[in-house]
Amino acid sequence: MRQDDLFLTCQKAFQERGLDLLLGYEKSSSGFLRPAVFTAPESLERISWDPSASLNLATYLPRFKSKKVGILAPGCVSRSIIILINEGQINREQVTIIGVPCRGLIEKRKLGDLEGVRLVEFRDESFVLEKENQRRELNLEDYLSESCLSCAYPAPVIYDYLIQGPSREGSKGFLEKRIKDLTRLSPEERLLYFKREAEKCIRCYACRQACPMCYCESCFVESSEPRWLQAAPEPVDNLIWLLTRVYHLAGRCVQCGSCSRACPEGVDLMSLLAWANQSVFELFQYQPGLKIGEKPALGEYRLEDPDFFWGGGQTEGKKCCS
Amino acid sequence: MLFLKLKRENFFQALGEFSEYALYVPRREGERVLLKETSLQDLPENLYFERTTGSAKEILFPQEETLFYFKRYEPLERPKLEDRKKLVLGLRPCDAHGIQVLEDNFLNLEPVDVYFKRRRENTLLVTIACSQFEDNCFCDSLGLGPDRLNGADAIIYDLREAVGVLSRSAILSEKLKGYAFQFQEVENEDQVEKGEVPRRDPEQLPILSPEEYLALISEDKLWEKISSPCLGCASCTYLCPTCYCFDLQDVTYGPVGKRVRTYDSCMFGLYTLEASGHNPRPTLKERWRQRFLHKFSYIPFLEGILGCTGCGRCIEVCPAGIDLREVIKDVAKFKR
Repeated sequence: MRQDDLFLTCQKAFQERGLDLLLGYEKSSSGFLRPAVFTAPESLERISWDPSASLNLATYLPRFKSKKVGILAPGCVSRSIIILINEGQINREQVTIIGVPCRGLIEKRKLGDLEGVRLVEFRDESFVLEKENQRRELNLEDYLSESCLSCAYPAPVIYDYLIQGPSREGSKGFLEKRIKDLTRLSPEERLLYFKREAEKCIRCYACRQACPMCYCESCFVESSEPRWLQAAPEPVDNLIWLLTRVYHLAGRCVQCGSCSRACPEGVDLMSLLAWANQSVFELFQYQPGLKIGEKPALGEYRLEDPDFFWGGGQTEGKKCCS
Repeated sequence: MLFLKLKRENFFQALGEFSEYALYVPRREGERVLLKETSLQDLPENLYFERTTGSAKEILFPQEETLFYFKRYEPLERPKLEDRKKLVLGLRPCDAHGIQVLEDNFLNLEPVDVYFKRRRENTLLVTIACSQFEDNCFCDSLGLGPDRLNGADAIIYDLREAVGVLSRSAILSEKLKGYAFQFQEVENEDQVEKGEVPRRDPEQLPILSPEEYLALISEDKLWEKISSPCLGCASCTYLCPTCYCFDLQDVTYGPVGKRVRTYDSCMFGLYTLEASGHNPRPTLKERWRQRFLHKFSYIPFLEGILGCTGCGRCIEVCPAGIDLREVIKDVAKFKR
């Protein structure tokens, strides 16, 4: 992918579509990307895209309901946009999608101590960090997010403009294997694993805020009548929070990993999310965010839907996630 | 203040004098560094501790705390105040500055917070002058470190063969004296031998006066620009060493219950939502203005110290990559 291609395409999109703003990334002082809201075509010179991005930009879209918005979109972001359209949160006409190729995103946590470290450049299969004039070349694949290691759609699914460049090959496996390992545990062991993860949670709701699908104006945790769970980070309430969010996202999550990278405490969010999605796929052969106009699996009833859980139906005896 | 010099082995021996104190140090657990109780034998020889993931405030101001229990038709019952003595070792000067901000809020204003007060009285905070800078930290740009005593009871300097301790706690000074080969009263912390403290050219940050910041309160464009990438989560405020806002909630089980204090965050919409439905800080713009001005205008105005410690945690955890150092620079550009 070429920088001038990105800049010129975004500028063209901005002018042709009469955009109010464009959601993209810019380089921070350490060389890692951070989200940026571009409000003028001239400012687009700073726009940048590489595997050091972290946040799913579709998260910002519901904020700009009355505006014409452009957005940089690798596979997961384009799928999030499709879901937001299908769920009536935004209009297709209002969004201009600038598809970008994706080689996966880095999990910054895996890089360890970053004091004084600057990200210099990305090469074909590696990237270079610099500290006090010492350079270190690291293999990109080793530092990718869990979500990206299990991404089936790295390239944008829909777009209005497309930036050319190589995307990572779609590959499933990483999280699927983790789920298999977890299902092999006894229910007690599995509960213990997730209880331990829940204990780390400080309930800052960075996961929710970083998630494009968590667009509710009022989240169930904020309700005081009735109060579904305590504000204090008691382990049991944390677990309710994590599990309820997973249920709300079952069959809606595109597994972009935005929540997981946003978590300041490194809670394992992806296992449960991937498990819920896998269950929905096994039961309804449905994958979220692939087609505009589709109804969400859990928002639609079809006669042939399995209903083993109350005794009858066509998949009698079948258990999900076997 | 007393400045003591101890031989390394004597320093560890001296810590044995604090047997009635539970020893807490930063310890890595997986991806996080937490303050954990430890034994004297497990202390690292070189006295190096990683920066904790959360800030030191949780030792005095935990994220969750029961203020009292209640039962219908019966008087309120206060839980037994925590009287466990703690020696917290290995925190950083920035953490100690945060404690100072908390003290000013919980102890120096009426009414005094009894829960915080008891914990503070039972806690000895011994920081260690930083031997290296951490990701995104900038205390040196604010003049708060990396070797200053700030709000700690004592700070330790690595003098190679010896350990230097600058103490302003009578208990600490008394117990360490017997093990020191040299000690003297000092007036000013700059007089003491600090050994090798890392230095770098600190980034110059334009810190304005509280009044100058306050004058920017109605600069809507500024706050809008700064807050535009913000997601409105609370990871910055929950990990911030100086954020002390809390919420009170009743946890009830039928006729019995307890009133619990938990962290709250000005970055949440619910924080200022009034019962009528009106919200005086309806968007992230107003919330960011509050967070920034509280740290850089209100706290300096009321307490005379900066409400930011330069620890860098908010920069490190922000999912939107907002860098407080750049915000400080952006704000200064609007100075009138």
